[in-house]
Amino acid sequence: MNARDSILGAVRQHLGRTTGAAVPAPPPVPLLGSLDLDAGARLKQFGERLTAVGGHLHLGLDDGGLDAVQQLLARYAPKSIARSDAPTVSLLRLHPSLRTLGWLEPDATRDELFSADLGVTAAQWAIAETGTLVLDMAQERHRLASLLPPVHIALLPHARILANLGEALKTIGRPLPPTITFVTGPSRTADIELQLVVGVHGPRELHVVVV
Amino acid sequence: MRVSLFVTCLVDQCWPSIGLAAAKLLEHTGCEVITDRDQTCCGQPFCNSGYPRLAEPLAKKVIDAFERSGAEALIAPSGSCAAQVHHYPGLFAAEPAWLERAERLAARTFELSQFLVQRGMQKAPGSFVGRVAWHDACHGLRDLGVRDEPRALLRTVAGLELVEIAAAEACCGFGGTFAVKLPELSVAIADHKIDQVERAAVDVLASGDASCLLHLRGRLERRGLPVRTMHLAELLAHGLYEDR
Amino acid sequence: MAEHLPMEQFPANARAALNDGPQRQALRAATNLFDERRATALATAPDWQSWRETARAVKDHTLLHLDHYLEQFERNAIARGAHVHWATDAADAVRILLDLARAAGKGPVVKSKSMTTEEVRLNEAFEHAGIEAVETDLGEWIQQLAGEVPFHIVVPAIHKSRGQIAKLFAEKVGTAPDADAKTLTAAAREKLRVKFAQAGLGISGANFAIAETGSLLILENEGNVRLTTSVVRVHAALVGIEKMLPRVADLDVFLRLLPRSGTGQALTTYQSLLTGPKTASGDEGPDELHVVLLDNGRSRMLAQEITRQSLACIRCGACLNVCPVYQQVGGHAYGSVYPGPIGAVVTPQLVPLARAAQLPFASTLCGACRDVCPVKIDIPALLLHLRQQVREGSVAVPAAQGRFFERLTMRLAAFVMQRPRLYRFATALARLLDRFAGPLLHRLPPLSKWRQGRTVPRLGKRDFHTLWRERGRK
Repeated sequence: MNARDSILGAVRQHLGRTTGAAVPAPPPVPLLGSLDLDAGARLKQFGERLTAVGGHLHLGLDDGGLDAVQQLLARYAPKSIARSDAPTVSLLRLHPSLRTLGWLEPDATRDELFSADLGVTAAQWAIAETGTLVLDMAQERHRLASLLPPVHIALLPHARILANLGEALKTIGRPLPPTITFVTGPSRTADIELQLVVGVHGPRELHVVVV
Repeated sequence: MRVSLFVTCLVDQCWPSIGLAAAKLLEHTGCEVITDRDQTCCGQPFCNSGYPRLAEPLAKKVIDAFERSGAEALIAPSGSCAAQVHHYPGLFAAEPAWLERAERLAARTFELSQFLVQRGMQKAPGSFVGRVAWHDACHGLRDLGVRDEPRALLRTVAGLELVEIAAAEACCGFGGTFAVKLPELSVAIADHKIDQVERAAVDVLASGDASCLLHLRGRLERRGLPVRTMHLAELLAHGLYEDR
Repeated sequence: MAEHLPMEQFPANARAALNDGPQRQALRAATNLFDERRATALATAPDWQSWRETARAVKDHTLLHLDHYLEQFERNAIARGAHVHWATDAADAVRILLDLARAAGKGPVVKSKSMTTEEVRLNEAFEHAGIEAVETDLGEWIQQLAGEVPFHIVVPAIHKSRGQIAKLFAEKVGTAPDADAKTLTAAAREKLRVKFAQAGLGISGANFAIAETGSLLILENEGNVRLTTSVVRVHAALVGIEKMLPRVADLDVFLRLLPRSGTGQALTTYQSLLTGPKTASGDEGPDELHVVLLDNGRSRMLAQEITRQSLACIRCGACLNVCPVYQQVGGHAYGSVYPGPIGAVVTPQLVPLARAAQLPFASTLCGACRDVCPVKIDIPALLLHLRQQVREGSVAVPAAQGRFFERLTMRLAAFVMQRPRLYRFATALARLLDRFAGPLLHRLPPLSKWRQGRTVPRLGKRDFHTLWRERGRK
């Protein structure tokens, strides 16, 4: 008997059942957060929660985030910038003031991505309740640009701020893409004497520009 | 109302004044208090040490005795013993007749302070001048939900200042046979609480369970700290009964 | 190779742990902090009790129909291009993962935190096979460098001071001898990135497996899980069969409970919801995704309702932080992958009871663990169940010195307690002995054990019933 049959057989035996029994529906999990917030309140809550976990919020509703991104790039002066293939990112990258910077291609090599100083991506959704970004890799190639460089700038469409996790889980398209990543602030650890150190394997800084 | 006082083996043998004080308090609320000389043990040590079968006959005796006593309630000056009686139904899952009787008894069994509050005691009759820290005994706290009643009653004792320590709800480390099988650990757990008691500069450490108190007293004395240990009943009835 | 202390020797292990002052301090600081953070997080979660109920109900249902959900998971995972393997025991799991490591070619294996891989002693197997396997979670890497097993489920190296870690890193990593936490972490990032870049295989665990979609959900704060599962060509996840959840929607309640219970966070920094390997050559992510479903004694726990709840555990660590025993001795004393209250009930079910017989007694039965468990596991009831199995059960437990004596004493005590007249005689005798030979008796067990650190209570001159009668009462 192979391991699969052995395990399933053991499970059934210990549960005292045979195969083929009809399975009742699982208990319902109701939507657990509140949906009462309007768009303005959601943006406000998202900003508060993002800041509380060490992220930074910038508003770029009028100019597609251009001004905010210009200032951030001036501040960090990255030599090489990783980017996703999101149209909003491409638009910014082509702006005259930013065009000459060290942008990598969306399909940069792994080595290039490993040594990039900063990454710019979009985000598909956000969750107000927790200050979380939701990155759907079926809609944008950004898995490594948002992870490998020490600084991550995410362009978030303001209409995509959902109220809570339950809503986000419902909103994510089916079939699920190979990866959905939830990002709540910069990477962190307290493994050494419980001292909080920000910036471990993932980015050390997270900037969300709402567009 | 006739109530049967479940003295508990520990109080009977090591700390009888707790029983006298408890009886005094029950009478103060207008109860007729009876005791049963044939009472021995609720069976908890056997259940907790992995010998529930040895506890079964003891449980049956307790159920029998209560039914014969004509009392309407069984009151224990011990959260853990009262909780043990509440667990009697679990011993008789395979004996429906006993199960029913056990459930009836459990529904009528109370820890002392819970019952006093139920009976409407608003002001404890005793008086005691001193600073008192309270220790929540685990079974009373977590199995029976005894938390507010002792504190509320202690606050009404004339002259008594109730002091809350951060580790009030932390286990004292007694744990039944744990106390003698893992003695260093048992003492280390007590020290965590006693350190806070020491810093609180209280006169008395009080609790609703004699087992916790004997263990804590043992450690306080060994550490040479001048903190007395007293049972809730002794404080609530202080001055009203003769000790020994 | 890191070895656990022998779990049969919990009393001796505990004594040794109590004598380690710095470790006790670090442990106290950690457990206090996490417990406080948990309490703060709960203050903003007024629906906490109903979340617990919901989560437990979902787990109960899933476990009762585990075969159905395992099959559904397998079907959906395979449909999305994942490989699903089944491992009946540790040896199976190790064999499968070794094969994958060899097939992945040269280059190290990178591991993100997985208690299940510790359970099957994967690192040891890799070492024997001459395959380099590197832990990438900072705390796990520290322990790996030190040649030790983890000390705490969530913060594996919490018992070490920064100074101790700095010394370790100076020796093994080349940092300055008194580097601060930031420098040490930066050094870890730098060194481990090289491993990520070179690795051919990444091994992770999973916090939850979703049957409806064949997905895995993994939580973390550091980013090493994201790296392990997206930068490396082959990703293998070792997942206990009890990790199944029916639906994606179930994650709403579990992701509210787990981070708050473990570290007091509303959410950890990253959650990765993974469904199959990458689909187009230009995509990012692993070329191959392997899910290894592990039994290793879990299916046996399904047999009884009381033991089945052990499988509801979501490995948050809250019970550890609140346990008076764990707070004093830490994780190593239990000699098991799973320490603390949940470890004391799960370990005797995963390994032969005879070997783990001390663990159910490593508890005062205070019940604090039951109060904090996000899925309402009644750990004290399980402890009592296991104690009974050890004492009254048919499993042959090796007779340690004193065990026969204890059984005899218990039977004798029960005999006496059932006979009131005999009880009165025995206690009168005891009072006499206490009065005239007390100090001598105090030097014999069990009173001699009590006497370690405490004065021994004396028996009253008269028992309660005598005093009662003296007062003319019935």
